Amino acid sequence: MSYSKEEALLALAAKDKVEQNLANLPLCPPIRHAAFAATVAALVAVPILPLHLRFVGLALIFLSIFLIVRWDKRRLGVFINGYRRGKTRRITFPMLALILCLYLGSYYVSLTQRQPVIILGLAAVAFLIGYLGSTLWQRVFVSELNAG
Amino acid sequence: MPDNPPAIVGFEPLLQAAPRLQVMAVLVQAQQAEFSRLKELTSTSDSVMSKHLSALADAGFLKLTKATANGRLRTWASITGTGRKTFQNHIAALQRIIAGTESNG
Repeated sequence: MSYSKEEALLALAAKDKVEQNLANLPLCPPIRHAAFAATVAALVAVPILPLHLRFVGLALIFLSIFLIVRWDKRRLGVFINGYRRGKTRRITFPMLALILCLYLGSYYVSLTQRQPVIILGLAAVAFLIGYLGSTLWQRVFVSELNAG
Repeated sequence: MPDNPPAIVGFEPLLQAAPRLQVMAVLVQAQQAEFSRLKELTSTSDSVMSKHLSALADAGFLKLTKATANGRLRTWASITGTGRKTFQNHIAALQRIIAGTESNG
């Protein structure tokens, strides 16, 4: 088999080009970032509910995740997993760790202080982290793909 | 998988066609992609994309599934573990050829 340096360069250029095409899709409008953030905030707010309603709350959150995935697939014709390998993991895992801390904090407050205001405050922080995290994630994704 | 092993380590002859390499590149980044989106991203026609997807699926590099959306049957492609590894090895082989550290011919 013979494969020249020029052919290899052309092949890598074709790969880079299609990655740029993917990065240039209108990935997530602000409403999509907000939908993700609302899901995350709802998760942190779940302990505010009486115990027998928490499962209903969690079921609704799972349903919303399913609907967001379906929305992405219909809108874009691709589904890009948030846990994908690459530089975006530097955003994904710290964001998940923060959300988990907020959820545990919310659960702790629900057991000890029973102050809905604190839980709602934590949910608001979760919304902010979710929105900013989602926006940053997209920027890193686009930049990584455009870099080739 | 092809019958003849590639002479260049990691080089996959099936990925020599640019659209096939591009389909794999998209699917490495996106968990799933729909037929018409792949066609658009790689600037190929229906028939060409169909042939490339079949070839890649036959080689076990990707999985094709059909799903109905808005009353239309759509084909979705996703990469397999073998496909991901083959793609990465192929890209590494191309980079070695460019760097001049791979003897070929």
